[in-house]
Amino acid sequence: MTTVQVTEVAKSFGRTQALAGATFAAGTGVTGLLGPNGAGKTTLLRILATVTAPGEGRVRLLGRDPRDAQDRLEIRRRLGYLPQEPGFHRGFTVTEFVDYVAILKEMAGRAERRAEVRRVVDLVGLTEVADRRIRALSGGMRRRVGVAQALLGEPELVVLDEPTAGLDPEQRLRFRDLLSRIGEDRTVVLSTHQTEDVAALCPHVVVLDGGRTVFDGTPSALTATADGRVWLSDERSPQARLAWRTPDGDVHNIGDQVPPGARALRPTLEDAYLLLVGDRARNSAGEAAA
Amino acid sequence: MSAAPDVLGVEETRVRAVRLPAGPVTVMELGRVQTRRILRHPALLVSLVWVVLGLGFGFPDTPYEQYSVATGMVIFMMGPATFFAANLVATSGRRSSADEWTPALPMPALRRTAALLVAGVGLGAVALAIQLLLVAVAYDQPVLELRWTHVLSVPVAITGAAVLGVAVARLLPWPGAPLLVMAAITVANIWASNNEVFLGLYVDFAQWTDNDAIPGMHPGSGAWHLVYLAAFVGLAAFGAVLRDVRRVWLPVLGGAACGALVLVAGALQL
Repeated sequence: MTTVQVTEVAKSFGRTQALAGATFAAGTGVTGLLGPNGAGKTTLLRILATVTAPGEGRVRLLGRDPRDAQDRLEIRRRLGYLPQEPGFHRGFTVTEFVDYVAILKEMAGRAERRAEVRRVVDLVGLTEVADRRIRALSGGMRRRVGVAQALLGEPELVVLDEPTAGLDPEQRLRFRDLLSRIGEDRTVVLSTHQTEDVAALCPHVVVLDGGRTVFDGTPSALTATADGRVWLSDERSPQARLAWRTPDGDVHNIGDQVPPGARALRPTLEDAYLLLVGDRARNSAGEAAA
Repeated sequence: MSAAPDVLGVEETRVRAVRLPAGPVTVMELGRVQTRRILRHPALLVSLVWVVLGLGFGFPDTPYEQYSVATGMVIFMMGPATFFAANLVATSGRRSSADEWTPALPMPALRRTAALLVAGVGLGAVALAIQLLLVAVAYDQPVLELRWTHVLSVPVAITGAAVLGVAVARLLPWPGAPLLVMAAITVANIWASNNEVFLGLYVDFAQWTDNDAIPGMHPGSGAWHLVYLAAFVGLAAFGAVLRDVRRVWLPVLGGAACGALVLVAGALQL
């Protein structure tokens, strides 16, 4: 079942082209959106959250057209959104803020709403600081407040822009657990720079670069694109496009192909992602030079 | 559930029925939250402390002064603070960048603004409570009759201050705009008090009493003054929602009606 369908979507801000033909479809489960800074991830997620409209192309969310006012309203009633930098009313306590968002989500019954607020605050592990003002919270805790409001009302489509940014390792693991449970019967689209989060969580991955979709498939398919292009050596290989020394003292190289005699490695999702984005960057530079 | 193949060849399905919207209830709920936010704003808290301190210095003894303090003190101390506090709460989304993402939430902008206007009524209720307390505790002279229209004009004026703060936030979304508006109101009131004493936002009600407390003064109509103030509140309220509606002519028409009422009531109150 497809809940998100993005077809050739383009969006410009003045002379800056943020999206230049992004295409993908997502259904139940967690879809990870990867891409370098400026790839258009945040713009795409803002379009999915109905905050901004696409300049060109077609978007369907939950079977509806967000360009239509009534459809847009229906989408918003079934949507949870965590922006990259959620602005908070910092004078609110955690409970007050989430309750405020719950009202904006049209949850009318007071007792029901408060129970829902308690549920999501507990879900993100903030019960102990529920009465603390947001201005007194750490960055990671504020992030969790943002996640809590996105989960209010058990939305069918959850759009999360870098949800794990600023979270400590334990919280990241808890968050993975939470998202994987949500993704069992709902659609989650998240953007991240953490390839290990995508590898651990997402059965579906989309890579954006330069505003375009450059990969759309499973993490294993993405990883397979790096087969035979990752190797270990004692020193940095001249053939490597990227190389770094591991804690064991070996050098981890990624490049076009494993040189003869080198110890080939099974690639990770990160290797494949770096190669994909690096290839794109190199090709773009080549085209520009030509 | 209906299903149809989409352009990508994937089945597209409309899922589950949506929740029923509960517009008026959520507006009232949000109004309650916004009332609390405005009341908790430091500007308003300072003004309330000022009212208490003012009473601590003692209540005036002369009938005229006692009457003026009982009817005007709350307006002068709470009014400007209410205006700024309401403006700051109404602009907090923009200042904290929350406006960058809250459009993704289903409550329409018109209802969000309506909730701020409801908060204005809530502040009026608080002002009325303070006003009644003030009269009960400190108004003890029988010479000047205190009428219900005089008492009610205080909450209406405070509601107006809050609504105007919201209107300025919606129509003039620039830093410094509320200061300019407050300066203009102050100048207009000073002009009115020197030239046409019944046309300000606060009118010395003692002059309206018909018991010759101040010989030679001809009392105006407290009821028409109340209508005059309420029409100002309506004018500001229609201005506040102007950017939130698709049919702009509706608030424009409502605002024009309120403007006409201001002129009529302004003339009849004299």
